Amino acid sequence: MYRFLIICMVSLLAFVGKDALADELLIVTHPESSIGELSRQQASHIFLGRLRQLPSGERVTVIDVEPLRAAFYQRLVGRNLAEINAYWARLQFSGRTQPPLRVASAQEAIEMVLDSRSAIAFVRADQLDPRARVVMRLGP
Amino acid sequence: MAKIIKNIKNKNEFRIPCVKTRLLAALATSILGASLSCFAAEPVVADRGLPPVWSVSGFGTLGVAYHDEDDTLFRRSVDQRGGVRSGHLETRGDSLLGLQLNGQIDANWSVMGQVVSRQDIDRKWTPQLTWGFVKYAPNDWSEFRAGRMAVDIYLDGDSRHVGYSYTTVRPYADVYGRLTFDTFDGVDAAFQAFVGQGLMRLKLFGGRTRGGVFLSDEIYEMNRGRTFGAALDWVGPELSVKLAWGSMTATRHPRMGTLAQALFGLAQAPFLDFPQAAERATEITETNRVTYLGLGVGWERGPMSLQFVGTDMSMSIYPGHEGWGLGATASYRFGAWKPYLSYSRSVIDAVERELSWPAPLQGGQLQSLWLHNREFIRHDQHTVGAGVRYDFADNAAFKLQVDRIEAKRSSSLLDDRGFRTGPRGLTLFSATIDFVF
Repeated sequence: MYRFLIICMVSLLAFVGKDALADELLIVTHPESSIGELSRQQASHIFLGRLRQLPSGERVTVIDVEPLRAAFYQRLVGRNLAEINAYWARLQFSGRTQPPLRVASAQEAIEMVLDSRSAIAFVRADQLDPRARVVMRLGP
Repeated sequence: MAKIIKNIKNKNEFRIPCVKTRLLAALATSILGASLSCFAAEPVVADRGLPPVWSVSGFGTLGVAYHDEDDTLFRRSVDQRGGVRSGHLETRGDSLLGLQLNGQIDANWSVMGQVVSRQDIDRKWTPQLTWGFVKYAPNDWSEFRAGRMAVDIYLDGDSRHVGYSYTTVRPYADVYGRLTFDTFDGVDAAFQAFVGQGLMRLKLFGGRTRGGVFLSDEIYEMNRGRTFGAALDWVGPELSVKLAWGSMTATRHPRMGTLAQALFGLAQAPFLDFPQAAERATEITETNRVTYLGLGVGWERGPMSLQFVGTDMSMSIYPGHEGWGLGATASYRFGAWKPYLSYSRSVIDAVERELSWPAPLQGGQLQSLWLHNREFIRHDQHTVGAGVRYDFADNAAFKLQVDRIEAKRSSSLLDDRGFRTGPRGLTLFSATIDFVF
């Protein structure tokens, strides 16, 4: 009986843990990107269009994954997606900078990241391609 | 890669030659000029990392407003001739459409052109070029632009036309509605650096002033003036602060020359004993200068946001005017809904210039002109507003707002003849749909 309960508990923990891990959002780059690790502040500046270059001087190509945008910006800067969209309208229509590219799926984002050293995107942990480099983790 | 390119959802870029994109491209190019159209008409390179990349985007507002205060016209800014008349559901005051063409030429060079169609100072909807510049940004720490731009005085971006980018129906009419010489043809340079947890940015700008004011049933154009100024802002994780200074000069209104000449003439008339007139006449300068100093503070934490702007303004338009303005907005977001409260006030008073008119001139045309100059810009008005913004789509928001406007005297509100008003109180109801595409 004890053995059965322990197996049940371990299975439950593993299941919950797997879900929590899958729910984690990861900022990913090309494996040979000059970014080793990003702080939250650096990531905010890059994804909000305030910085357009990597520390190496390379231009950065920011990629937004449409289905994950709301969760990503909520976790990164604590802002609702409507606020982020309004923020981009401010920048875009005063000629400061253009909003990130948007792709429809994490798979497309991963392919772009693997294709370009300057690309940076975000995906869910269970969507990660082991060839991409993880430079920041955003927990649930 | 080709597959990815096909699926890129940033649909405004020239990647997918769909009907909508081609229609927008055609519209943009017809307005922005033949020189750009040859680039915009064709789909160009797909990857943003491989410029040149051209994109068309736009914004707009569909608005309606109503009040029932007799003999009063509400204007959102003093460059409007028309406004919200008493007892009319007015759709022209806030409605506008903007179209923008962007081009990333290479890693460092880009161009941008923007036209806005709104009811202008002549009550027409002729599209106006609001932005049109070439930008050189060699790195993240400096950028240089030349062309037509807007002065950097707004906390919510550099434009008062993009309703979708700010919370309320319109920027504070009491504060920004009075600063309408906000476009110039010239250059600007911006420098950026990390300071603390945020980024500090210094921008210097200068050029030829553009814009106008409609007041006393007359248009005051500023096309021959000069603008220069600076803006320093700091953007942190939750707090943003902007300090802006600007100075605009323009040639004086012909009426001022007439007044100066008449005063000189009267001072020399031996029978009047009116030497004070010469003193006053020498004070009427060839140019008018408007100087603006503004502070904006924004604070955002989660769903809550607070905003404050304060301005100090002086105008050398004879006899000289001093004024100030402030605006504050508090809002809280519940999902797609964002209710808000706002308050704004502005005061402009004329500098006292003593002039004792001799008995034969009292009540005459010249004294009327003198008094008109002292009174026609004076202004003391405040607005309390409440409203809600509802983001019903990814790129569109519906706003409902009620404002109570109280004026001791106003040069923003006009009477039915097109002149400044005395004491007025009105409740203004507004609804808008703001969108970007």
